[in-house]
Amino acid sequence: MQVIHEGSELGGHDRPDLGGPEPGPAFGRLFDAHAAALRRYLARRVGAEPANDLVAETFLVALRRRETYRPELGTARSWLYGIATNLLRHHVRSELRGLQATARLARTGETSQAGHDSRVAEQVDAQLRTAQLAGALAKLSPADRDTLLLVSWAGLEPAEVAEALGIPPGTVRSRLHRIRRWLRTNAPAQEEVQDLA
Amino acid sequence: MREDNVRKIWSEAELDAALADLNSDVAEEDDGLAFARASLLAAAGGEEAPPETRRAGPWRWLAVAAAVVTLVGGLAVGASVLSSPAPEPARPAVALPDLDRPLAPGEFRYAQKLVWVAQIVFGKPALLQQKIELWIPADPAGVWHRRTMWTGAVSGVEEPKVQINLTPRDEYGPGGRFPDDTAAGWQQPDAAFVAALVPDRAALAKRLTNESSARWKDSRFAPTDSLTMVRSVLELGLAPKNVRLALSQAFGDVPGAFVVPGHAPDGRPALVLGAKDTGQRLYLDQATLQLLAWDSPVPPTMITRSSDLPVTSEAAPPSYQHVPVTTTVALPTTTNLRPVAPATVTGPQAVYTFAITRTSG
Repeated sequence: MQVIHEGSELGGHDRPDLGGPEPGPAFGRLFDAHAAALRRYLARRVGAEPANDLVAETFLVALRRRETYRPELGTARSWLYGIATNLLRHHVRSELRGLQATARLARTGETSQAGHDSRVAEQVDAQLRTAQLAGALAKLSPADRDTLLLVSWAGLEPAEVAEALGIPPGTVRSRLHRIRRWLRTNAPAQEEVQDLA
Repeated sequence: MREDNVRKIWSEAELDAALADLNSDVAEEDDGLAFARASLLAAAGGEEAPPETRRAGPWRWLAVAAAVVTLVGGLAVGASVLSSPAPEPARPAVALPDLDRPLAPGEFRYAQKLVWVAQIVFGKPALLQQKIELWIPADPAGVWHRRTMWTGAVSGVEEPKVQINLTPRDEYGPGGRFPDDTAAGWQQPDAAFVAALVPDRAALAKRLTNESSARWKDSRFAPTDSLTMVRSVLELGLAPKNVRLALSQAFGDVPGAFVVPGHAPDGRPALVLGAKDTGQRLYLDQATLQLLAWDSPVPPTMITRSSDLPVTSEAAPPSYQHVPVTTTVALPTTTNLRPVAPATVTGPQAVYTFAITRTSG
């Protein structure tokens, strides 16, 4: 059963009525409230230009399907991220290529700067960690990657992720626990970046 | 061995730091959102989504796209669907041969997909025809050959100086796993995936529902994803007839889906598999259950921006550089530019041809 979070109410700003006969104003407000953050999240996932288009597509799909938005089942934000997550399915390859590129670039930085001083060494550590994480993220299933990054990058609460993905909150929490444990164990072992995309 | 290789497990804080680092290099460029906002508000004040029963071909959304481009670019762009014929013809209406016979060594199962891809070319809405050919060897575990190319047929572009790159892209994938593919599954079925499909209606129906990538919390949005799963498999032309039968029957068991006898866009009797949420439909030959066509009342391919635009022009594009295009094929290093062939789009989104060949392209 979905639970309306504290401070959230039907018809409120986070659960607006989108089913009116003139959707323009409501969707304008919806866009202004969520588009920028959604774009940043999507840009990290698939790159800046595809992100702009995905934002456009997300809101157009939302508009087309506005009659099916049910405020009592979730916030508009989680609904939008659910739509965007579905649309991201078409960009899995480019996301994986981006993660690989990140992994390679970070490793290149490591080899060119290592050993200068302690500050550089810290940067190198961070670069290596980024490279390892990118490589590990590329090995997650799309569903696991969505779950993790909706929390870590989009800033959604697990309950919102559950709303977005249409799965029970308990599943989100257990999935997060499993993913994070896997990453903690396996990301440091990402020595070679393989072509996965 | 480096020191950091000794410690094999990150702390929670280290993982969070890595996630934050990886998320920190996103450019804060929100200017691209202007187009998205304009698109949204234009759509909100314009046409409603077409009713499910309205089916008039993939060109129908051009008017909406044109309205959006006009709003953003300030240009009077019309949804001009040109009249000169040029696209590669859809398959003639003849009975399909027996494609389910065992292949002899050296023979290949051939599948061709002619699909109209939605693009906005230099600010104008257009549909570009793409041909995707697939050769699967007698032993499906062998190397598959996939060739993707634009046919040169374009609907909606009148610019005479526009040229389209017709150079095909050839890919080879052992067992159907191509270099850019992710894990095999319903979205990207390979030889092993298809071989594992059992002709069990109930089992397949369960899989079509439970393994759908649909993320909508309302199950009414799942049927299109299930339809896509079915289409991805049938497009290969590899699944045996009993699996095709079970798969089509199973799809009818998915909530929000329907399977009814009808006619393909070219008039042939067909089994129609439809998704009530979007109106997308697949048409299967009633006798062989081979895929004939796929149609959608709304563009199933997203409008995206990319530098991989296959179309070039001697003239400078409009000032708004971020024209959206949908691209599924990147420009190869060697180009084969040809003028576009203006075309009329009256058929479905995609038509399919299957055959048995003795060469792999």
